[in-house]
Amino acid sequence: MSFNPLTEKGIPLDRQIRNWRELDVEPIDPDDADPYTKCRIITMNAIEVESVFFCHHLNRFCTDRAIREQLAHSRYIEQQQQKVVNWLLPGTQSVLETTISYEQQAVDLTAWLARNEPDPYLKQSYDFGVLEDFDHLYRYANLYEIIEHRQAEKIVDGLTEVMPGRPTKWEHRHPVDNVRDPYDKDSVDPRSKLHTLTLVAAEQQVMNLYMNVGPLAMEPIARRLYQEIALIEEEHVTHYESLMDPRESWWERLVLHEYNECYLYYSFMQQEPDPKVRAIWELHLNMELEHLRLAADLMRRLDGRDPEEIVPRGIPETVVFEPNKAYLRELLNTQIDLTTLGAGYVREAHERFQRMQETIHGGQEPPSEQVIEEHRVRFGGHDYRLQTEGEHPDPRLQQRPVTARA
Amino acid sequence: MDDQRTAATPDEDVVELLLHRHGEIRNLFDEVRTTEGDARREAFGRLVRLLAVHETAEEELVHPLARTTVPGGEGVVADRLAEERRAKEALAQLEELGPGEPRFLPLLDTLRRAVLEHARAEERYEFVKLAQETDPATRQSLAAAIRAAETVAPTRPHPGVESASAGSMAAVVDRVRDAVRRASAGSG
Amino acid sequence: MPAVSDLSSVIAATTQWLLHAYPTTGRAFSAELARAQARQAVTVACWLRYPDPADVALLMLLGPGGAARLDEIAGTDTTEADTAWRTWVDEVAASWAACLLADPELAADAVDALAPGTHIAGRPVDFRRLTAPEELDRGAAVLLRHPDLLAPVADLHRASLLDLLGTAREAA
Repeated sequence: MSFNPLTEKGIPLDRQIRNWRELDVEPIDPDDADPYTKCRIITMNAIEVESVFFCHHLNRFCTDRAIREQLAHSRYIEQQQQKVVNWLLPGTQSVLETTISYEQQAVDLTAWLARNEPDPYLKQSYDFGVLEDFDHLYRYANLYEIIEHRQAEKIVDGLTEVMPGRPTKWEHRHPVDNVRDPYDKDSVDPRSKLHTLTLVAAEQQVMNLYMNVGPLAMEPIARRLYQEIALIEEEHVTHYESLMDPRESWWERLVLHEYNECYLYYSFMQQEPDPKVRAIWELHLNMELEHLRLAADLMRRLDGRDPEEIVPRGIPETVVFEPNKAYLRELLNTQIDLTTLGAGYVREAHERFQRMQETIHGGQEPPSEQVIEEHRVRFGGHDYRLQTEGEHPDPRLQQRPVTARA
Repeated sequence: MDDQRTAATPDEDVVELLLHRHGEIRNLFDEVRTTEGDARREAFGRLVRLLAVHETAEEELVHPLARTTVPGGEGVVADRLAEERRAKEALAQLEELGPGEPRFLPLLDTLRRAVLEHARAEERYEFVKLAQETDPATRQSLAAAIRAAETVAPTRPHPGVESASAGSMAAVVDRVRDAVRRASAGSG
Repeated sequence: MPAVSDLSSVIAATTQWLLHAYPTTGRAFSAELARAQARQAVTVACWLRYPDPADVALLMLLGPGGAARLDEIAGTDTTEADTAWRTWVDEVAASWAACLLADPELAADAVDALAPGTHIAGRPVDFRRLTAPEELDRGAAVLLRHPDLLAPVADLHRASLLDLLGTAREAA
C-alpha cells in the first residue's frame, strides 16, 4: 500500500514544540559527509524558509483570529524545524563552501525535476534555469581555489561536474523577460505544482543567502561575484514563481506547501545514508503530516473544496539527489545560446536583451569573468574545472590553451 | 616549502597567504586519511612539518600583531594559543602512535576537526580584523616575514665561495664594518 | 628583493648547522619543534649582529664565512656531499644563538635589545619558542638547549654578545 500524506497520522500539534536539548543538533562533518546530504539539508532549509514566509504573508491577509492563532502555532513549529535542519551545517564549513554546496544542490535538484517534469513548458523553464546554476558553480569553484586554495572537487566529490554553463554574463536579461506564463491550476499535473514550488523555495533561499553573506566577504572579487550572482537569483525567483498559477487560493497554496514538505521529507528519508540526519527527516515528516491535515481542514472549510483535487493521487516518485551528468551535457550541447523574450525562449540576442547587457556591463567585463581571469593569472593560465566525462561539449567553452607569457 | 602553486609575489597579503596555508593543511589531512602504508606515513610526515612551521610562524609574527592592533586582541590570541597548544599535544600523541595503529585514524579525525575549528576561528575573529586594522604595506611585509621564516637552507653555495672551508670571515666582516662606521661617522 | 630578507638564507643555513650539531632525539615533530627554537635563536642573533640594511648588504658582499671552524670544534664529519649550504652559515650568529638557547633569560634580554626598525619594521614579534619554551619544546631540544654541550660553540663569541647586550642595556 502506497504512502498517502493526506491519510497518514502525524504528531499532534501541541506535542511538537521542542526544548533546547532537542534543538541542539550535532552538525555534520564538512569533510566527511555525503555531498548530497549537504544538498538535502540545503533543500529542506529552503523549503522551511519558504513555508515560514508564506505563512507570515498569510497571517497578514487573514481576518479570523482563531485561524491566525493556529497559523502562528504551526509556523513556530516550522521555525523550529528550520533551526534543526539548517543547524546541521557545521560552523567549520566556510561560507564559500556552503555556497558551492548550494549551487550543487541547485544543479542536481533542478536537473532531476526537469527530467521528471510532465509539462513541456515547465520542463523547458527548468532546463533553461539549470544551465545558469551550473555556471555559477563553476564561477564560485574558481573563487574557492583563489581564496581558500582548495579545489571544489573536495566538496562536490565528482558527483557533479564543474565547467562553464550558460556564461553568467549572458544571464543578465531585462527584468520583464523573466516573467513566465503560469500553469493552469485546473489542468496541470499536480506533480508540476510541487516541482515549481520546490524550485521557487530553493532559488529564493539561494537569493537570500547571497543577499546576506555577500557583503561579509573580505576579498573584493568575492564581494563583486556574490553581488552579480545574487542579481541572477532575483531573475530566477521571478522566473519560477511566475510559473505558479496566481489564481490559486491562499488555502490551496497552504495545502500545497504542506503537502510538498511531506513529499520531500518522505523522499529524503528514503535516500539518506546518515542515520542521525535520516531520523530528523522522519521526525519532521511526522510533524508535517499533522500540518497538512490542519491545512486540508482549512481548505475544506473555507474554500468548500476537497484537497484531494489539487494534490497527486498517492505520493509521486520520490525526489532523488543523484548525478545528472549526461542530462546536463545534453543541455550544454543544445541550450547554451537560449535567452528569453517575453514569456518565451529565443536564440537571438534581441534588442531589449542587448540594451540590458550594455546597461549592466557598462563596457567592462563582469565579476563572473574577472574571477576566471584572476584564476588564470594565478594558476598557470588555467581556470578550475572538474570534467569527469571528458571535454566540454561546446567547443567555445573548452579550456583555453595556455599561451606563453612574454 | 613544497609550494609551486603559490610562489611568493611582492604584493602578497598575509591574510591571503595564511588562508592558503589553511587550505593546504586541510588537503594534507585528507591525503593522510585516504592513503595507506608508506604513502600515509609520507603524507603524515608532510602534515607534521607543515603544521609545525605554520603554527610557529603564526605565533611568532601574526598573533603579536593581532594582539596589539585588534580590539580585544589579547583575549582572541589567548584563545588561539590555547588551541595551538592542544593541537601540538595531539600531534605528538599521534606521532607516538604511528600511522599503522588502529587508534591512529580516530585520533587523526579528532585533531583534524580541532585544527579546522582553530583555522576557522583565526579566519573569522583574527584575520578579518587584522585586515581592517592594518595597512596593505604592513600585511605585505608580514607575508614576506612568514615566507622568510619558512625558508630552508640554500642548496647552492654563497656566490664566490666554493666550500665552507673559506675560513672565518667573521673578523673580516667586523673589520670592514668598523671601517665603514668610522668613515660614515667622520663624514656625518 | 629587499636586502633584509637576504638574511633568510643565512638564518636557515645557520639553523640547519645547529640542528645537525645538536640533533633531536625524537621523531619528525620533535625535529620541527627543535627547528623552531633554533631558528628563533639564530634570527635574534642575526638581527642583533646585522641591525641595519648596510650591515646586511655587507654580509651579502663578503659572505657569511661558512661553517669550517664550527665544524672543527663540533667534530662534524663534513665529507658528506651536502656542503653547499655550509657556506651560508654565520659563525658568530651560531655562537650567539647557542648562548641564547642555553639561557632563556639571556634570550629574553636579547629579544628586548632588538633595535626597532629594519627587521621588525614596527611590528611586534613573539619569539616564545626561544624565550618561553614549553615542556614539548624542551623535550624536543634536550641537546640543543644543553649548556655544557653548547659551551664550545657558545664560548667562541659569548663575550661580544654580552658586550653588545650590556651596551644596549646601558643605552636603554
